[in-house]
Amino acid sequence: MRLAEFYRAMAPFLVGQVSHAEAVRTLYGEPEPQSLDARRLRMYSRAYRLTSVEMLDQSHPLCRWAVLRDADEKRWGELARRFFEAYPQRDFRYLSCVDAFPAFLEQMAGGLNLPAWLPELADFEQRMRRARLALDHSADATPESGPLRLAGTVEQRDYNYDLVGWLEPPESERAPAPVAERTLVLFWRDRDLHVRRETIGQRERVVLERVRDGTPLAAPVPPGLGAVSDQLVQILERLRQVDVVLGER
Amino acid sequence: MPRALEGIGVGLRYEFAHQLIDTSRQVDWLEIVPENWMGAGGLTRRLLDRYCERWVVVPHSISLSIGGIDPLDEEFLGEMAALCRRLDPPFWSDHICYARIGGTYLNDLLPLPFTEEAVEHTVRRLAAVQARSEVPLILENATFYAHMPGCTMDEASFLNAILVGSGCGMLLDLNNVYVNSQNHAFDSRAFIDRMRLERVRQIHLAGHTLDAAQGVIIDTHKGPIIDDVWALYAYTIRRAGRLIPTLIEWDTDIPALDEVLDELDRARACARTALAQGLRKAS
Repeated sequence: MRLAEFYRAMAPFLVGQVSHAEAVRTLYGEPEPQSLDARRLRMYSRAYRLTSVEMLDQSHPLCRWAVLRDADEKRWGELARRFFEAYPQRDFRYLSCVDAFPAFLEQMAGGLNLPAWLPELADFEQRMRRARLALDHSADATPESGPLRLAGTVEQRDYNYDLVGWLEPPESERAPAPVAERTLVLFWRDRDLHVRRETIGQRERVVLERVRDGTPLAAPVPPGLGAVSDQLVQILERLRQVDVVLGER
Repeated sequence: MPRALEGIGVGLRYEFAHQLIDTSRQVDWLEIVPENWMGAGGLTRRLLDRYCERWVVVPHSISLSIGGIDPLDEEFLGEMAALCRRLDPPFWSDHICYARIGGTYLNDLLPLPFTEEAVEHTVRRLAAVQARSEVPLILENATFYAHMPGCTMDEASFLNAILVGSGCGMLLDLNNVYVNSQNHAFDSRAFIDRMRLERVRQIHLAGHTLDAAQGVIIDTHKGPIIDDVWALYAYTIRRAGRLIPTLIEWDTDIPALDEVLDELDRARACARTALAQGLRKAS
């Protein structure tokens, strides 16, 4: 068998698109897996399934925990199988390969009877990981100098569930599900390179937007916000203290 | 000029990554899986910098897919080159296997058919990688649970043909030799006798797991190294007549760091005894 033919037969088998028996017929010419080699071939497609699950275990431990509260390992395994079927691993950096997991869960939309908040939890885990692993921004190395700016790792996400509040207590005391409540969560890395997350309000959002856009804090605030400039100054100071906002005072 | 690799090292794992940096026990060098460190900043990058200050750090990748039929992944090679410039290792290593088909990474080190065509194909790709790499690449013998169809030679002949044909150095994984010898009923020492030990630049030692239901030993890198593998290590060192830089891998159910480092001490003692025995025999 030529190498090209070998790979043509192995590829669909390894990712579970062709059965063991069919692969054995093509590769070894045995009607049923008889020889030791033909029987052991099965181990390789099983290994692919197991490593797929392990990748999600490592990248989304909270999602795993949430799924296993109501279901068994089989459902988590099935989720992994469907995900990697839809989004095969194209990148050697395996954590990049699970970037599409939140979108995949969104598309599933109850297909496996999963909690409605699971896509947001998957997104939350990814933002935490991005904040942890993001490349270092040279401007972040001198937090007290330069123009007023946001730290390079800052990300804001809108969620329909209070994930930060839900994750606050220890795992043994965690509620079965997060409270349905619109929240705005800020993710960043502080000067000691520790990952931080915090639920913030509309006033913090205004301050962050103004720092990002270079708009003076004293500019008129949107109606209904009820904040005066003094409060925005205080918020800015607090955001500086936790390394969300950097630059000269 | 890269620092020389000597003595007994350990494969760096997340579970003890923070503890290891301050250990007072003897660890001569480290090996990392580069895919876990590429493109990372923050504490991850800082930690790697600290390791490099203290130890020689050798990248041991799993994504090269040197025997695969997909084009070489240029992005991977670029990231590897950048990492090698940063770490300045004496070499980097990967496996004689394939790991990617049709653009999909399979997260496994999959066996090639032991054929002349696979040898020629692998040697050709190796030449392409070596030509663009500033740091030499060495290759490890992998485990195989089944012979792929159409084999025309045994594993030892296959490995030798690739290593001789390419001029590439070898990372000799003795646990893999043992696992393969048990799974395919051959003599592990006779296999070592056929290896060109002067080409071996590094040795791997690890634990494994017997899957009794399937009647096969799996290369899990789990648990302490068994006595038979230690004996094979002593045999190999005696035959080589030098302490080949040796690495302990422990990847599954990782115990306390001290227990992992006990294996390094044992390797050191085992190699010392083997070399002394070799000298006595020679005199």
